[in-house]
Amino acid sequence: MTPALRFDNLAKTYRERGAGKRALNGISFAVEAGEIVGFLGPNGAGKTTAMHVLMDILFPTSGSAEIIGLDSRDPESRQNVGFLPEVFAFDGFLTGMRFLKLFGSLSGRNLDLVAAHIPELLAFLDMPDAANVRIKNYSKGMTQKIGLAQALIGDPQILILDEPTSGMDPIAKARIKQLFIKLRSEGKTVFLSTHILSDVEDIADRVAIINQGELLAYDRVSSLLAANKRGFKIVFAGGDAGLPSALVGCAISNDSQGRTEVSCPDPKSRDFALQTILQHGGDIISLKTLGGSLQSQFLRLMHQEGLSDD
Amino acid sequence: MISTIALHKLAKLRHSRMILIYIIGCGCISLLTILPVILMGVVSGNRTVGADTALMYFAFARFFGLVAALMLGATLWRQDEKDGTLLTFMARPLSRIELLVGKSLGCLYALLIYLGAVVAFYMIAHLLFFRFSIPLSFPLYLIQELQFYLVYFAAGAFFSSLLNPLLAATAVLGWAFLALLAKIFLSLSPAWCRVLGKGFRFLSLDSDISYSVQALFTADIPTVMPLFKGITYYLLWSILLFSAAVVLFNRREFAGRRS
Repeated sequence: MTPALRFDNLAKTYRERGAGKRALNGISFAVEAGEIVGFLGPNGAGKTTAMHVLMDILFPTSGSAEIIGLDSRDPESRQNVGFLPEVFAFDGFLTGMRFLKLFGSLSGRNLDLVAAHIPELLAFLDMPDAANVRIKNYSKGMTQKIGLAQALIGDPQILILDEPTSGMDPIAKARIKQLFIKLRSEGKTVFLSTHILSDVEDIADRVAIINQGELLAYDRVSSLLAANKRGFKIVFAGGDAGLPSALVGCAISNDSQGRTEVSCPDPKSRDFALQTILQHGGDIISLKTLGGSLQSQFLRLMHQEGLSDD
Repeated sequence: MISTIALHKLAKLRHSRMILIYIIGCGCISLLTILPVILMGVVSGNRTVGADTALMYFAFARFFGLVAALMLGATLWRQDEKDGTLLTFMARPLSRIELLVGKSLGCLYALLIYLGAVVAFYMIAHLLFFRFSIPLSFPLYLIQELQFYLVYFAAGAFFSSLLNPLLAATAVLGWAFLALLAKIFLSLSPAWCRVLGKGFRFLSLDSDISYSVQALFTADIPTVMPLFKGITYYLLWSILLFSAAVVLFNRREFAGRRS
């Protein structure tokens, strides 16, 4: 099956005075249709460059980028794509309705269908009254939402979104997460760049992590998390005198507040420790997975392991 | 899709404060120039004003049209790049040629409106204040005027692919000064100077073969051949410069705005 998006040994060097600046250094990976893929990396890693190559805004120095098997230089490749740039800007004199109609018609969709889709879309984005308001009067969050709406107008099969929830409030962010999950259930592909790793961890099927133009990892979220797990930490209080000696296979320490911390290397010892604590009358305060978050894996890959163990 | 882009470009121009100020400024300068002549005619009761007033009017119209066309060409996509709106268009299933042609068509509509306004004001003035004949070659003259604007528009678009809009406009105006150089060389007697003069004249974007405003009011249908030559000359330059602008736009990479 043809992947929705494919980067094949893609390299991009910006021409600058003197030496060129290498933004992408031969990255290769494919995004399968119907998946949510998080595209992660620190600022200046090359995420936006890769997305702009997909959109034919930038040209590859070598290698190629494809959308549903078509080279990104072919305008047809963007037939089924919705794109939200990192900083969305549009002519402020247009109302939300006119703006969305304009981009709906540029997608080659039937204008009546587009017009029918707009109120539903705006309602979902919690801005039903914005249709007749000029974009120049929108707040930052609303501008971002209308940008997202223009990416969604015309019902594209692939969404390429560069920091889609930037400037949105937590409620809007939660709605957008729901939206991505809904789109995936409809068989659509979402390729998003974001710095909110917890969101990616929650909803993405796979993540691609790049730094300085190099692809460091491309894998399922579950695989990345499993590879990075370093055990569990249980915090409890109370319990009888025999409890510490009963916690076989776990490291025990006391914190300054008189609570006991138990570190277990694997799920089996964790389950045993939980059962033992309860049997000996202890009160479990918290249970945490050590090093299992996407953020910690991300930081580890960025050579900053240990900064966010919790 | 091209017409959608064109109409959007026209709407954007309509909402541009700079364009609005320019139009009002042009109108004020034109009125200040022509108003005394009109007042003289009205006060003296002699409402038949000679061709001189019309010449002045059309000379102003040509100059302001040229500057407007040049500005439109120089900011054809540069303004969209600057305000960050270009990327959203480029992400649509449009070829860059369609995008540029659509935007250019929007500018052409604007120039047509401008030319229409020039003619409309002329007609109103003619009916209210002046009384002189309108030559039969007038429509052809208008076509040539439009071509004249378009060549400057295309030149602006071409140079803006290489330079920022201000420098692009300066470059085009500098280029147009070749006409002056041509006149100097053509006035000199050595044969090579005349050859060079003709060359400069051909390159000047304002060839001597074009039909002047003067000719409009002193000649008529039997002498319209220069008008056809002028139209052909401007058309060829427009096509050449616009094609070059399209090629350069097609090869250009764009930087998105960063947060």
